Amino acid sequence: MTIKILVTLAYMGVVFLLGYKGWKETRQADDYLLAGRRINPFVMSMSYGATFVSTSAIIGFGGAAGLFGFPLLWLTFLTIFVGIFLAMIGFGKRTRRMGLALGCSTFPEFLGNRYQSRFIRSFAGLIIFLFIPVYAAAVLIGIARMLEVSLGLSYTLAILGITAILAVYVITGGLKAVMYTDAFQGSIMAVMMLILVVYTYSLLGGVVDAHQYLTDMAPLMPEKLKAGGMLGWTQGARVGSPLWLTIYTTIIYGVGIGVLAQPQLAVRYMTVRSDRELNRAVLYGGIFILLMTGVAFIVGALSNAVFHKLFGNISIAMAQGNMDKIIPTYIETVMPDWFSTLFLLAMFAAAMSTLSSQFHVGGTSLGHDLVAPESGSAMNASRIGVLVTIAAALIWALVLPPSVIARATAFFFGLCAAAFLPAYMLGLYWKGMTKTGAKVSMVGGFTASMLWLLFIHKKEAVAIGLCKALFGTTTLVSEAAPGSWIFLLQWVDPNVIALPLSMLLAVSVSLAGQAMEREHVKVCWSNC
Amino acid sequence: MEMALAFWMSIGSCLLCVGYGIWKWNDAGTPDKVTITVDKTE
Repeated sequence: MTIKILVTLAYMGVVFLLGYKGWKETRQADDYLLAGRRINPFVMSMSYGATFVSTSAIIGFGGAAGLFGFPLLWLTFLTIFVGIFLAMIGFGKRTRRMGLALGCSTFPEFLGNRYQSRFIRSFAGLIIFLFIPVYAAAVLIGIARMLEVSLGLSYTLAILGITAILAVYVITGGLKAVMYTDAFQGSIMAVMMLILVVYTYSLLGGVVDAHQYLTDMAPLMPEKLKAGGMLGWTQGARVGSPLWLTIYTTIIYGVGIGVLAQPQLAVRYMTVRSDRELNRAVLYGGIFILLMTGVAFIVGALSNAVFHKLFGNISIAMAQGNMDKIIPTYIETVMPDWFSTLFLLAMFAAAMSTLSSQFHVGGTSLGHDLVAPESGSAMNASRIGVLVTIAAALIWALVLPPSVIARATAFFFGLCAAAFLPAYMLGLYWKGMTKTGAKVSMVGGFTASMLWLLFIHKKEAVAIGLCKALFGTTTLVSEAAPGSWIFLLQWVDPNVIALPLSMLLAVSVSLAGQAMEREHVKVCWSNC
Repeated sequence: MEMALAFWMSIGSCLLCVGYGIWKWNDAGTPDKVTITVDKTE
């Protein structure tokens, strides 16, 4: 225990040093908001990756892999191919060039300037500010659960302690401090995940034997999961079953596509000097994300095999029914002591790197885009915004129920995709995209997503209870014939409906409406 | 079979990223023409 505390303190020391370096180098708003637009490609890619992958991915989705098995590897594929390759090349380069021409420092400002619309900027800022605390809370819960299991700290104390540390360097050092610490934290995460996967496979006698062992465990799948459609950890779920819909529409599709419109990631494209840095970041990012999501999902699934081999139990039973505790329990009971100490650091790193970026983007959305878009004190307004975002995330972290990490993350990713992706993507590539098209698409996508969530999607509709209060039924489709496609809609993620609708609205309204001023479009494309 | 495909596609996409990064290592693209701040809002 003493060693764990000492190592954690040493880690905190380095984080504070890097935070101090960021603070020393932050002199103007561009430094605070965009790290001075001169970030090294390694730092940029590690920061992007470490922000993207958090305890949500490792503990939350790793735990989901412990429950659902290898289908989550599709999410690994999407996070690399869509989240790194397409994102950096297709979105990153254009965002950087257009953002520079339009003088943008934040994602809402980018959308607002692209469409010459204060409404779009404020609307985007409002959505980010209101909902990123939910996502941040999911990350906080992940690391607090880890500390609860590893150090025996109380859950509430863990949450309060971590946010206090983060508040210091995010509020003072801005994006420079966030990115420097992210790169350090990302490096720790990469090394730990590599050790984790090698050790896990070695425990099970190699890749082939490990996968075969897990395949043979299919009859041990809990009855409740079998009833939901699960066949086995390497076999996946029956097509069209409730769990198949949850895995593929919420976890894989929602997050895999949602990554393209994440404001805290998009802003990083604008922190580098040229395309060269983004090209190099593709290389670093591809390796990093494979080490993160690939390892988390493989080890999550294989934890069943290891637990069964060592203790005769499957993962969810070892974690006492809480999916979010599968990975922490695995680390504590299976891995050597020295590893659990260092892995705790890696999880600290994963949580802090994502949280710092979430607090930063939430704060800049409030301070720079909502409250003081024209004022010269963007830096101070953003600092206050960061403080408010932190407080909101703390409240969410204390009230959200167990086993919520993966779902809350998927919720934010899906919401961003429905509200922002069509306006963002078409704004980058289509000169005919109009201000009205963007407005209708953003509001339409957001509204559709929220309505689906409140009245159709079972998990949230039941928890929130608005549908029950208004219509006397848990969801609007729960009384349809069981097994019918209408009945199954309650397991279909909001994004499956909201994103295509948002895209349709963007294209149809833009085609029907008046094009934007030629001069402005020319300015937008001046660097492209 | 499907899971094996997901496994190998994950590794393949990582190699694609590595290959692209090496191929374009020194490619800075066309220089930026405009670096001014334009803030046109309604």
